[in-house]
This record gives sequence, C-alpha cells and structure tokens, in this order.
Amino acid sequence: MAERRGPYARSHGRWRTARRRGLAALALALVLPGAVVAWAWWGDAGTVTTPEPVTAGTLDLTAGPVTGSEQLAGPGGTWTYTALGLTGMLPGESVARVLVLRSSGTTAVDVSASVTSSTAALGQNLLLSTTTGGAATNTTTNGLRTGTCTGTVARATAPVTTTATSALGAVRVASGTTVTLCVVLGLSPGAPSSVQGASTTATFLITANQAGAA
Amino acid sequence: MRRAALAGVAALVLLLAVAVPFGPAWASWSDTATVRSEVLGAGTVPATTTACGTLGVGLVTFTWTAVPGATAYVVHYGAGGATTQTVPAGTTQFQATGVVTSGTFYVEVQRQFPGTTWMSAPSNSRTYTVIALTVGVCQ
Repeated sequence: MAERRGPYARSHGRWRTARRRGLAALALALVLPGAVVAWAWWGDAGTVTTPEPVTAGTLDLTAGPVTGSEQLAGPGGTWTYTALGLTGMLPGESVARVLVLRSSGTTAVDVSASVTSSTAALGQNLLLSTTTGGAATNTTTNGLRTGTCTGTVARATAPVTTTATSALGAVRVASGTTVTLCVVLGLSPGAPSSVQGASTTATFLITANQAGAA
Repeated sequence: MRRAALAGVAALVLLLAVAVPFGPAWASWSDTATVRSEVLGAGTVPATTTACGTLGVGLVTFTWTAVPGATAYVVHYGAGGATTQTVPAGTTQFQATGVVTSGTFYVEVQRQFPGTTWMSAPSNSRTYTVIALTVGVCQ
C-alpha cells in the first residue's frame, strides 16, 4: 500500500521545496550580475616641472707650463712641451720644468700620470723625479747644468725606460683648480761612455678619471 | 596544481639568478692626454787633432789640440798604437824615442766625472819611424 502523507508532512515538504527554490534563486541572483566582478583602484597623477634645465656636466683635463689651460682642451690630445728637453747632456746634468694640470670641466677628477722613453738608446741612464706643489730651478755650475724641484715628492729619482712607470699617483683635483707637477729629467751621474751621442724623448700619459669612480 | 606552482617558483628563481648579476651598467667619465718632452740627448767628449811636431835625431814629437773640459789624454803609439800612456790635461805634445822604433800614434781625450769616465773617439793617426842617430820620420 502506498505510503500516505498527512497534512503536516505535505505542507512541510512544500515548505522545504520552496526554501530550496528560494535559495537557488538567491544564488542565481548573486552569480549572474557578478559574473565578472569589477575591481577598481584609486589613483592620482600630477606633473612636476624643474625650475632650471637639467644638463650634463663636463670632464676635461688641460695642461700647460703656467696656468694649465694653455693646452689639451677637449678630449684627448698630444702636446710637445718644447722647454722640457736638454741636449749635450753630460753625466749628472739635468733640466727641471713645471707642468700644470687643470680640471677644466665641471667635475672633480683624479689625475695620474705614467712616463715612458721613446727609445732604449739611453738605457737605464735617463732619470726622472717629480714633485707636486713645487717650483723648478735651473742653474749652471762649472759648466754643468742642474735642474731641481721643490715640493712634495711624487716620484723618487728612477730610470725612464720603454716600459711605463708612474710619474704621478692619483691626485684629486677639484673643478677649476690645478695640480702643479714639477719634473726633473737628466742623465745618470754614472752613465757610461757608450751612451755618448744617444738621445730619446720622454712621453707622459696623463689620465683624469671622474672623481670617486671605481 | 602543485607541479604548476613549483614550476612557477623555479622559473622565478631562474629569472632572478640570471637578471640580478646583469644589473644596470654604470659608466664613469675620463680624459687621457699625452705630453711629450723635447729631445733628451747625451753629449760627447770632442776628439782632438794630432800633428807631427819637431823632428830630431832619434826622436819624433807629436802635438795635438787641447780640448776644453779634458781631464787627461791617453796617447797611443808603437805598433798599431797598442802602447798607451795617460798624460795630464795640460799636456799637448808627446815624444817618441828609441834606437829603432816605428808605429802609429793617435790620442784619445779623457773626461773624468764624479761617477764615470768618458773617452772621446780616437784622433787622426800619424805613422812614424825613429832610428838612432838619424832624424825621425813622421807622417
């Protein structure tokens, strides 16, 4: 015999069905409009203008016998310092000259220099010493010419050969200022008779690096 | 799902390992210039010039020109000029004597410095013959 349900069971069952339908409808109502949930972020934008133009600085090493501005303007360059030379040198003779190095750009630089001899003709008998912050003096005594420099020793007297050696360790030079390098070049007092008549030139390679660069 | 997540993490780690060492490149400025000297040259001790001096019986005299700065002269005489004698700077003549002797005569100028000694190139040479009781020959 089929089960018969009383009035309460029938109404309660109808209520549960209605509740399910309501929940389903509610779920549907929530899902359909928000099928693509839109999220938004707040933002704001503005413009900042610098009061002055932004320009790049400059780095320029120049050199000369007096102010340091006379030669080597612009990148690189070669200058022959005609006063820095001595012919007919006898053992022990030397010449002293001042070389002024300037940071002519807008940035400070670390300046250093190396030196080489253009030939091996004088072997180990061409000697160089340098100082910073000094002055050059040249005298002749008993027919022998001698150059001397005052200042702080940058390079003790040592041979100039075809292999580069230091003439100046790194020195910080602020923009618009100079470092004075006093140079003494001469023939070794012990130069043998075999170097008579030999000659060469000395080449200084000067480098200015942006201050503080690694 | 777990494999996908692990793959994603591995990819991220790989990206960091590759990208981080090759971070932004930093450059600094520099300027390099060359300063050359004029000629730096060693001198020489000038050579002297010899001449035949007085010719006498059994002797020949040679002379030479004084060189400023010379501290001595080294005279060469005898066969091939192999015999030498150093004479003071103020001396400008030398006499060759003997019973029978001949040879070549020339002079080197010596200049002494505190740390070394330089010699000039040899002078011009003279040949000579000395025979006792006869007048010497020099040419």
